[in-house]
Amino acid sequence: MEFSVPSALALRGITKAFPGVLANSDVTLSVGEGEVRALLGENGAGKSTLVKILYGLYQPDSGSIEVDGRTVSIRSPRDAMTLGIGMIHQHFTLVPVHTVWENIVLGLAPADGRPLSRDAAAAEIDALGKKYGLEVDPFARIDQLSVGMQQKVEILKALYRRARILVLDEPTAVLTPGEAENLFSFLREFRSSGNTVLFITHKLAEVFAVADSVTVLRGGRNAGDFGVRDASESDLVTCMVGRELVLTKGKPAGSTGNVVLDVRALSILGDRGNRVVDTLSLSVREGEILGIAGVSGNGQEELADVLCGLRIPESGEILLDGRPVRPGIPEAAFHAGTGYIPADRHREGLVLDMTVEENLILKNLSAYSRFGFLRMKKIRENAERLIKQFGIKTPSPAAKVKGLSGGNQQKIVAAREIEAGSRLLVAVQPTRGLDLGAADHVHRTLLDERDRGKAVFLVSTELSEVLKLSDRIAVIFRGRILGEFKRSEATVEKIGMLLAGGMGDAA
Amino acid sequence: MILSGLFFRAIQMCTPLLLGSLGEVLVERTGVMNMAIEGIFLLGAWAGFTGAYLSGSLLIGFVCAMLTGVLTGALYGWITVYLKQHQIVTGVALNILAAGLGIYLYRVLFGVPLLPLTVESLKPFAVPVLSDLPFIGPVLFRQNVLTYIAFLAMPAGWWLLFRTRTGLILRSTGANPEAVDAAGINVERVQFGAVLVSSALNGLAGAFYSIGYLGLFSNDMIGGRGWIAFALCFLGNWNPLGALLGALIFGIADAAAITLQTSGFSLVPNEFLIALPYILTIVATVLRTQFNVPASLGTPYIKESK
Repeated sequence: MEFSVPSALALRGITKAFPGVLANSDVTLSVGEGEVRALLGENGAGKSTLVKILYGLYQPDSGSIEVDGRTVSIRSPRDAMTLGIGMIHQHFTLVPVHTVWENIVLGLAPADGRPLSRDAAAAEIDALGKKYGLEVDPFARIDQLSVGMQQKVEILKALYRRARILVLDEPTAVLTPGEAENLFSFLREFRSSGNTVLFITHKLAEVFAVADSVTVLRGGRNAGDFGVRDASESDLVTCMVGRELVLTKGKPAGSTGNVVLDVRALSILGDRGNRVVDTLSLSVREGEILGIAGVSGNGQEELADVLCGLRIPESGEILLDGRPVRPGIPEAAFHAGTGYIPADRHREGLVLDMTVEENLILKNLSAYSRFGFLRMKKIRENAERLIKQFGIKTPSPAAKVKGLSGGNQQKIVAAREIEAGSRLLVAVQPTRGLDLGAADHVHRTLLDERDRGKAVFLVSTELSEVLKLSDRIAVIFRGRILGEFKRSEATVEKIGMLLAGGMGDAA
Repeated sequence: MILSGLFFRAIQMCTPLLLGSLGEVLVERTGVMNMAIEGIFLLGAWAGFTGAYLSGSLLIGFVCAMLTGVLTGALYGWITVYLKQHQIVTGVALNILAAGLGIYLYRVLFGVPLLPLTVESLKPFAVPVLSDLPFIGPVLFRQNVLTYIAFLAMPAGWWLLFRTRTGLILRSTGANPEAVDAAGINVERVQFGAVLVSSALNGLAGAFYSIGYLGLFSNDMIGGRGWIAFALCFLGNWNPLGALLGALIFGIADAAAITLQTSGFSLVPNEFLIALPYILTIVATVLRTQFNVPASLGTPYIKESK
């Protein structure tokens, strides 16, 4: 097939090395016109490097790129755009304080100082939006749009530049199930008019949902090309991980004990002074995982912050083992036995420039110092014990956390917080950005801690994760619990309805 | 009469503050602070005087001042934009260098004259018809050319920033350089260019003190006014029109200090009047609470790489 029809986009023998890492090694793949190709691989498999080369952000050490059968040189994003390649980055490249149309026309046409034509731009954006089902108000400010809308703006930016080949880097990582479905239907529409899509993901379900074909990357190499119709899920997993991986199955709790966490009529004000959690009550028992399902931004992050003393609530009460916890004091929450695995481990969980052993004691300095001096021996012993217990892969306890993989970084946070959280574990998006193996390890850890009798408060925007781990599921919408289900009663349909705020008070 | 004299002087004293703060607004919108501003004011004053004295032409003086500004700015921009060094540290170093260099170069060229050397400073230019208006005429329309230019430059700067593609690129660079990079624009070039433009304006502003107004050079003639222009940039909320408003207030304060000093008025000590613009800067800075700080201000843009 490749010999008869020139492919819209082809990479041939791409190799790229960074100091100490061979990110891509002799990668060859091609995508035809009207094709959606998934690029599947674990974190660190070299997917992002490959597409950055394609977009002119990196230069390959060797290999060539062909567009429409002609060998091209892509030295910068501008070259890529000229060739009709548009890129949707994982982290959006939008100016938050500017409007949609300003973001879309940024850098177009020579900067000749002529006035910008706002209305012409807006009209074209509207037309594009209608054509592809990507309607966005051109005059809205980016920071007032939801993440899903912002992604539409990114796509419109590429379409406005007449992109025929769209490259998307993990585009669903930030989307709700509904938004992701909209994205997929756009991609199908876009493909059907003869365009080309290269779609990077580490989620198998997405490959089957939208792609025609898939290339699996492993360790920087092309580990296999498949047509989606001929491939099974287990083929792809084996190819991606390089071995057979048996994922942990969720299992129901044995018996639950006393109430550990008791939240009573809690109200919380958000950063903008609006009420993000509204007289919310819930409880978690010993040996139980309570999963909070909800679309990001419905108050669950703030709720977790309050539970860990990082935010002062407006009103209401938090009891741990029946005793009230003083609000707004992280130390009080810690001493009451709360451990916290935050959503953003780089910002709230770790000091990347410090060592593994230092990060492992951050929460409990007083236990590891005497008269203000650090007790180095005890710190080292603690680190060695936890590294072994949690299987943290690090060259040494004195290695900087910065150099470890995301999965191992998350293990460090988990190790420290599980030690700290003798009664309650608050986990917010604990597997965000982790590959299959690492995510599975986190899941197993949470289930183990539950089985040891801890109460686990799990917040996740990934419904599959909530359904897999939780013993009880509460759906949060605009700061209220809209419904609560036992695991056996919960279905995707029931929860999905409540996620969007529909069908009111099932509780 | 006293009042129109005061306002005339206020407008006059605004001139360098306008030029300096406009340059600062433009460059800070790209995420770079031009911290060398005070030093460039001084070197501009020196170069303007030297050029005008040696050539006998004020125009050549102003051109020399702008070129000196551009050269100093190129050094500052090279260190901060391309070598990614700390802007405040670099700026402080350049300011100290400029303070020594100004007087050194003056003495190398002219020795230590008994009386300060002078040139004839910029003459006022009366705008036909308008200058005959009562009160407004003498205050606004009998100024020198540079003052007119400075006042016209502010709305022009606003228009550039908010109504043109160039302005959109400048603003985007300070708010999110990644977005600019992703749009295929060279972030470093935008920032470096903005540093050069602001430095040229600073050089011109400095020359106003030496040859636009006094007709001589002394090493302490800037006296922190570069910093006031710097402060006006954020008092004006990174908007040329806001800076214009701020500059007017400081121009009035500056003019009041000079007018009251020369009129022998002695109810408040002279030192207080001289300090007034600086006190106002502090008060105004503390009072302002809402800022649109460019998100990447002060942070060198380092392209993502492994």
